[in-house]
Amino acid sequence: MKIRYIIIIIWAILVLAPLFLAWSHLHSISERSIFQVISDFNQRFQTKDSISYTFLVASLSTILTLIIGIPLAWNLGRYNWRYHNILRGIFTVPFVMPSILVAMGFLALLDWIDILIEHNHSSNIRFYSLLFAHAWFNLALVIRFCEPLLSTIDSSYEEACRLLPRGKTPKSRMINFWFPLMWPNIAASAALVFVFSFTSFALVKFITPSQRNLEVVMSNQAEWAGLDIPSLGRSPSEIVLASSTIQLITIVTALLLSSWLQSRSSGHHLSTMRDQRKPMSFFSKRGFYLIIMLFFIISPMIALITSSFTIRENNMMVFSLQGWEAAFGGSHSPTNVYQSLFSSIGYAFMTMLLSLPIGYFLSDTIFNLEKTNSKLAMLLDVLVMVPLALSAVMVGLGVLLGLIRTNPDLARSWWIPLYGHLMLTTPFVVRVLLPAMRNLNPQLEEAASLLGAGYIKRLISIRIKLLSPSLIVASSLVFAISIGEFGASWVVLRFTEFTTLPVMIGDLLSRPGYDPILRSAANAAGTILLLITLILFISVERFRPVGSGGDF
Amino acid sequence: MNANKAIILCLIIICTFFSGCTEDGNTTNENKLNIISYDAFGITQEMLDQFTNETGISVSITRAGNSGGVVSTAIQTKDTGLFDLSIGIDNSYLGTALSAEIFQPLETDRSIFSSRALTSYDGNLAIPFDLASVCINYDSTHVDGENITIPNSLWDFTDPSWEGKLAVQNPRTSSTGRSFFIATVDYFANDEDSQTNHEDWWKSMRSNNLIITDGWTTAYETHYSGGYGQWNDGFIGDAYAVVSYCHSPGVEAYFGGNWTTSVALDVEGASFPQIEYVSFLVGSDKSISANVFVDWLVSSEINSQMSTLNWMYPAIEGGDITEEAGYRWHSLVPVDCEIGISEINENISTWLDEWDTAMA
Amino acid sequence: MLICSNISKSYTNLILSNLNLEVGSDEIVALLGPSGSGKSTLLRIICGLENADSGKVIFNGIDLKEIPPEKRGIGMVFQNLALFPHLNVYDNLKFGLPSNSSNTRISEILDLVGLKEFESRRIQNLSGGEAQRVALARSLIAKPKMILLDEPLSSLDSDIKEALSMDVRKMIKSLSIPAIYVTHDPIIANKMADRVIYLEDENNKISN
Repeated sequence: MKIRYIIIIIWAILVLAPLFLAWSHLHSISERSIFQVISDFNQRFQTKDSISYTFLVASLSTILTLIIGIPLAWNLGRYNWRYHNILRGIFTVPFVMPSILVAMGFLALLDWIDILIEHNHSSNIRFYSLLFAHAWFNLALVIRFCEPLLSTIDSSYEEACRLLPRGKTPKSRMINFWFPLMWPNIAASAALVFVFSFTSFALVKFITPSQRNLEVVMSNQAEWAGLDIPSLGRSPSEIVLASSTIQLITIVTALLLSSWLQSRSSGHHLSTMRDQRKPMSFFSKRGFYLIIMLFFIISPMIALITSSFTIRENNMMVFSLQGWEAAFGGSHSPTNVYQSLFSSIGYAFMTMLLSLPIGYFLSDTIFNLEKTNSKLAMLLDVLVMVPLALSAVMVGLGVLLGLIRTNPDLARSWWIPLYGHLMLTTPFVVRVLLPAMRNLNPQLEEAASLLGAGYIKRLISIRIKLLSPSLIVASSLVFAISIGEFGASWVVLRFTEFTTLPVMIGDLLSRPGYDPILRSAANAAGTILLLITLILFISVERFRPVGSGGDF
Repeated sequence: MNANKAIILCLIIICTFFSGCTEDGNTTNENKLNIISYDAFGITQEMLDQFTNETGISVSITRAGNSGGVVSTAIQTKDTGLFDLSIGIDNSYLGTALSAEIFQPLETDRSIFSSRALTSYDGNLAIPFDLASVCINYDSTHVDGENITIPNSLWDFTDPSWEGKLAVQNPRTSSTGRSFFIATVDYFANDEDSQTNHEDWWKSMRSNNLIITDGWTTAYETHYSGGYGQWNDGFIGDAYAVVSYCHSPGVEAYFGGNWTTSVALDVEGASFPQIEYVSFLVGSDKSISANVFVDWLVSSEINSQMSTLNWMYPAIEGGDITEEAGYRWHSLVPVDCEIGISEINENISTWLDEWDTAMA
Repeated sequence: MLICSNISKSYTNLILSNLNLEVGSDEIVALLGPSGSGKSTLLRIICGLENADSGKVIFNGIDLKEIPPEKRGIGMVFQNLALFPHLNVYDNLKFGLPSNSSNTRISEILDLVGLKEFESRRIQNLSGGEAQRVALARSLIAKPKMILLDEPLSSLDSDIKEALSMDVRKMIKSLSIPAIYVTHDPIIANKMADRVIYLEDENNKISN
């Protein structure tokens, strides 16, 4: 019990302390209230239309993601395909792709489309591309929330429905049986898709550079936020404070909604925990649909990979390995792929070692609280997810302020970037372990206890053993997210010694691209990151237990 | 692989990682310099390693975005000793940095610098290491005097033929944007028309669908039709002119086999003389190492290579960009605006707030 | 000997109200009653998986209140058997064996329940009756001082149930330990128990 509370307190401090530091510092500098600043947003170029744009993009992205994702989840959940695990891995891997790679891939894809269908690169095309990029990115959420239940729902329920007047046609069964069953899962996934689209940064910045959402606005003000210097003015601090407040309120509301909706999901009572999918061939209408979706998912990846093998030479694009040589040789960057990959893997392992136990204890606490105090459980669930809602700018500022006020030398420590990795991965550990814990038969541990097993023996021999498939899935998720982590590492100071692969890619992209090798090297490094993440995700899919992963 | 082997492998990887991390940030070690720099700093790791081999001083560089990022980070970490040197603060930010009192004196001999390098500031708190002028570049494919007239004044850009065809950077988020913005302040304060100022021009440009981007990269790579961006993914190419450096066409030619359609606009006073500085930060006690590094950076051997390392002009007397591949031939050395760093520092906040409102 | 004295327990509604029950040293008591009468709850209180709101559980003269379930020495066979799905038959039984005991005991107990040669069988591959025997064997291998059985045969056919219940009685009697057997089936209750107690819903009246 005590360890549990200590973990919660530590987590709360890790999450809230930087936020509090940043918030109070910005508040002390600001001259105007948050409401005054917000009411002024459309009177300033820096912030004009950013609030409406953020909500518009998030809402439309969510709708598009559901339109694409629900049929996909249906086909994956109801039918068993050859290489099903590989397919599921491919469809869900986009979620852990570094967003900067996704942006690069979609921009490359736009050029392909330009070759096939001439378009004028209007802002509309870019806007639609952004929505599709968000859908591509967040499909995994819809699949993960819906597919496990669809794949294990006891077939006798639908069979009974078919024999009843209100279930005789597929449409009527969809309306009267499936929708009432699935809507909490769909809505919970929609709330999370909204969260991730709302806080999107790299995709908005690169695909629609002429528009700004709140995350881009904050990033633009990041340099000067927190500085109390007359020549800089107060508006950067005020804008960051106001923007992050809007973001936090919106996201926390969405997370609460998602948590509440998941608790309403009754589907797991109808789940048999056995695979109920029917075999289906690719040579069918559904198979054709799946192939199209597969193409949708892999085309940005292929675009990125092919870009890494081309370079501008004598004002022509030619096939070349120069980018790969520069990436691996480090001729155009402070590190090379080997060193930065090693750093990435090192950070990923350490993140795994930290986030798994922290995530386990947080999940266990929420699970136990659900039986006695469901409201507190929901609040704790939201606290776990809050790091995903925090602006990287606020986190980076808070961490820097904390370090400066306590021990500035710590800023150079190799383990400081771990903070960002931990914050971003632990919520996903909880999302994987919590439904797995809910699916555990509680009498197994009770039986073990009556057989004389104390807490440790029950934990190791029963609980961890039964949760091990989910732990493997959580580990791979942590590893994949950590290895591609970019935002938080970028905001907390970037020290050369511990440059990770995504930061190396960001470094290459942030320099003027006169030298064609820079872009090609960035694409080559990006390809390595893409392939590692893909292989990891697909190979771990076979460990995913049937019917689990109701959250992720 | 069974579980035991997997655990052992994990431990080996972690221990190997740890073994490379034994040295923590020790700011009192005179033989290690911690430098905060902008992202575009082009000195290679090989050159830094060579410096270490020759002097015994190791160098660790932290990237902080653009010039503004370097200033803000240096101010945030003032007196902490976290960093010893800053690289990349330019003269559009120098006044802010000086008023924040974040620098300590360096002992560099200033007689080695060109007069151009010392125009904005010639004290010992900031040593110039490279420079260039910020101005408008245009694509001669489209701006050929027939389809669109080559402008000979900034007011020409308000003509309907230029609607939506000029890309500039947001002066709050881009150092080139900021430099160009300051140039317009001075340009319109000193032009023949005393009834109008920079605010009027910017408002007119807004009405003429000026493209405003957050950074140089988006303006130059994505929007500008005359640059290397046409070879990159996501290229739009709707801007026939862009704010960049007056020697950007030279860099284009350097990589383009002595060929480019990009030309620097030669309008007197419509360019800003951007000078970038290296400074020794308050809170550091490594004056010996700092001076050794700065002397190395502005030495003839290193500084003369600035045109191909940092894509800027050297700061030292006699330094120039290379003639190779038409780099120098395609570059313009303009007559820049003249505005002091004190005036910039006193007014920039107000100017930017007014700009922000005017552009909304 | 087990003495339950004035046991009360409620969740949202009252489940047990001042219930008193005694079970002799080697007596098998069958507990009958309708659904919701508190039978399973009573078993869970006796073995320590739940705490009573009031009342005492005294076993062999010792108040069990402060003693955790793993130290009470009371075995239980659950309704759904709660066999560990990730362990085979051998490992399930080994789980119940004290660490200083010989593994030959496993073979002995499997022999006793008629499941010799089943050691390496996976739990998922057992029939209902076989799984029930394994669950019983697991709870007996630890040589408990008392055993509780919560409708362990409810999912089986009636003829198998009858045969198995006699086997269960034989095995328990061989250990000379008290046992409480919860069931819905009065025939089974009469066949295997020394005494049948009927737990009524209203105020938990107990009638023999």
